[in-house]
Amino acid sequence: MKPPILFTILLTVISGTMIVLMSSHWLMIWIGFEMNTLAIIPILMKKSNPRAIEASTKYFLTQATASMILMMGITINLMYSGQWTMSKTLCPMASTMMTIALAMKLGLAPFHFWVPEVTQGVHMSSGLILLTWQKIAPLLVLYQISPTIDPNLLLPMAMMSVLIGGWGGLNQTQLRKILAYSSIAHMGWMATITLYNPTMMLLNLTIYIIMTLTTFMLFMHNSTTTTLSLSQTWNKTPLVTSLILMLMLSLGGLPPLSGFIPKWMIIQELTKNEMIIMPTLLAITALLNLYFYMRLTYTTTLTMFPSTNNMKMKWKFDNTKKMILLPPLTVISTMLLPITPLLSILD
Amino acid sequence: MLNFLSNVPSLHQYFSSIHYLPYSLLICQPHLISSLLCLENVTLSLFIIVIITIINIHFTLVSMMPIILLVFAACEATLGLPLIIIIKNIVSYNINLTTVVSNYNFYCNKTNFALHFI
Repeated sequence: MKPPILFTILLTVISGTMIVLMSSHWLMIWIGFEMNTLAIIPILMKKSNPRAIEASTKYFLTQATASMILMMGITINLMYSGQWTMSKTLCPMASTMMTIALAMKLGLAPFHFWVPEVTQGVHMSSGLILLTWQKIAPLLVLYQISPTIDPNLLLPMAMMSVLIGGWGGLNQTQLRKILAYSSIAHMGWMATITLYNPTMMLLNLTIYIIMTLTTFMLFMHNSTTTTLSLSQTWNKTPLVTSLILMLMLSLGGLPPLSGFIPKWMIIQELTKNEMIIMPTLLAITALLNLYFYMRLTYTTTLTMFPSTNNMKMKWKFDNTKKMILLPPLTVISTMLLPITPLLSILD
Repeated sequence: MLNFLSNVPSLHQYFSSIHYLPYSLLICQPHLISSLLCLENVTLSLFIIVIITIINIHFTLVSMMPIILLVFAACEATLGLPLIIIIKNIVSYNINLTTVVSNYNFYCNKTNFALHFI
């Protein structure tokens, strides 16, 4: 894609999300979502093979349906309150429809079916934008309507998401599908805490985006898309190997690393609200996620898979892919735990 | 003003039979283009609902809003149609472009047909 066109399309994607974030009028929020959806379809179709076209069509259909349901919710809110301002008091029917629409946009279960297929069908960099940037707008609208969301709707969706994200990722060898199921599970965690303390949802979102950005960039470095080719990175760039170890452990939520911060905070907030079963189930199903991260780590870092040569490092050309801010992102995604109290600035 | 808002009729009085067309989106359609048509059904129903709501609560200052809705929904439909054309080109059945276009032209007939599913 020619640079001016790519620039314009990316600008529309970014401004669509910005319009959603900065609006108080429901119509502008809907327009922002529409701009976002329309502009990201060409990005998903960067490599126009049939897989990418099919993925774009699936993404388009689900997001368009979600936009229409959101508009229906907005209209019902207009009918009952007579105004268009984004406020914390929505009528219950409007709140339900908006929650369902936003869950479809995010990929929460039971509307998660498009996430693995779309992420797998598109190029790695498009999948990156899909799983990180596209989650910001719906989650921040969810943040703003969180006082009126029905817990009986959102908590089962979140629980199903965590279960499906954990079990669905177990049988995968394709890295993009693994990251898609990881995204579904993390969205489940974020949806749970939105009802009780939305600041923790922002915390989880921030750390999730940073970790997923780093993961995608490390995978793009050697253009690996399967576990098998990832297991050969010891032969190409051993540094990536050790970084993947730290990153996978952080994604799984193990204590000395920053992936533990959101899980800790969320479980703490849930127990403050006297829910015992929910955080127990969340913590246990996080083990399923940890299993397939550890499997990736095992094949990549902890063992040296047989390859065609026995040398420790092959000679290769310099890397020409854009690894934007990779070292700071890696540091942030693994070493943030000691400064956790600083994250109360998100309030 | 508050009394007037409490007299707003319930949702059911607005829904004529045309507003049940969007439920055909839930049925798995064999053709991708009929999914796109169902999406347009939803847009149309939403347009009518918004207009009736705005007229009924006498909030005609925002009468521009359904037109803005139409603008963006039309953009979306315009995006969907080439996607379907590309898929048809890839799958390459013996279907020529006129069949696709004529499907889109028989809009009214398709919606009546969809109503019979319900």
